[in-house]
Amino acid sequence: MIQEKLNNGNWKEGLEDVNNLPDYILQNKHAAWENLHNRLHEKQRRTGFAWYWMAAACLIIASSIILITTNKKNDVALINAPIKIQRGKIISPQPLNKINIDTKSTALNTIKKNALAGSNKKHSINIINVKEKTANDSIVQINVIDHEIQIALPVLKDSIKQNITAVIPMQKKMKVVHINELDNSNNLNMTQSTGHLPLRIKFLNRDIYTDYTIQPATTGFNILKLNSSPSN
Amino acid sequence: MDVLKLVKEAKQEIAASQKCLFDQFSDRLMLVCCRYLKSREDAEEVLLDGFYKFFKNIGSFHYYSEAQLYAWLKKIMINECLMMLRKKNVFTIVTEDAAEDIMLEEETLNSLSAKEIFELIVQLPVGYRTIFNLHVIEGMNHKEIAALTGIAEGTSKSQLSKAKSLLQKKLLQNQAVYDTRKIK
Repeated sequence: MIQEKLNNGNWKEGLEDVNNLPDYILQNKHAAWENLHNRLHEKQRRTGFAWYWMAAACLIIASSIILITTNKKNDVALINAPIKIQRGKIISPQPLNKINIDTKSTALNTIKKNALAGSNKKHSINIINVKEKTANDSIVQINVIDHEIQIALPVLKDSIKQNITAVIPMQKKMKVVHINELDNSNNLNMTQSTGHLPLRIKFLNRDIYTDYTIQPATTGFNILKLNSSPSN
Repeated sequence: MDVLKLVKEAKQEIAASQKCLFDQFSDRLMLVCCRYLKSREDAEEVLLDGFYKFFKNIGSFHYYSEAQLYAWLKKIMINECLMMLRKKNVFTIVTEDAAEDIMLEEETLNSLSAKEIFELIVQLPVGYRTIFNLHVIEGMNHKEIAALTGIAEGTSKSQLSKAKSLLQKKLLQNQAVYDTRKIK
């Protein structure tokens, strides 16, 4: 009886003999299998969900690509090429009114950005505003504080394939001139309207003229006008 | 039932065949897990993890014999056990010099029943037990053990000699009991 329990040199094999060690085997095999079975199938379900997610992601990517490619017609491809800007003026061989508005606005914004971040600038520049006045008259206003700058500004490369620049008139500063410096026709009109020439009075180093456009009041005094007052 | 057929069907993810394979090998493999891990719950967890990996990777398995299949499963289980032990930081052992190799009296072990030897091994501290299992029972050399457990070869040798020494002490303590049993 006892001899049966003893190993005949095969004690290592005996360690894996289930009959010798009934206390150490799996007690609830069915529950263990259920657990394992659930795990195996749960994973399959998860991978199914993953496929759905991947399909949805692909759909989104495809639709976004289509959207991007359709909108690309209005986009502007940029090539860096030096353009000389002189005193806030950009000369364009291509009238801006031939370019559609979206393209122009995109281009102008890009010009602005590139000008602000330009690496090739020779002088310090400060472009305050770039705006399009109208779609037809092709006037673009750029306020540039410098005399002369050279920037690697982008040139629009579009279906037009021509460089775009804009004609920018300088802002004229209002200048006060003497009445005698005005045209003769104006002087004539003034004399015709009032019947007499305005009188020049010097008071506290300031030139004051009697206003010829306004009729004298009942008081009989002429209304005076400073040289800073707007004329006509 | 033919194991080859079961393996083929398990490759096709047929649940019934998977269950048959599980039933056929789970008890033996549970013994292996219990030899490495003290806690029964841990052993069960590792067994299920091992089978899960087995069924997931069964497609790459080429069946030759039942023994080969069992060896593959056993290897998976041992690796899972070592992973579990590594998680529990069992192998953070300070490197020690190799101690003198202690010869364990094989005759004494042969005179014991499988259950007695199993219980002696299970009583060893986890570190000793792991090295003893890998070296003496699985037949790995110290280089392989070092690679598997992440400890130095010298540490592995030292742990083994300490395991043997402790085992021998336990055997001597129980010697009287065994002797009386032999006389009977």
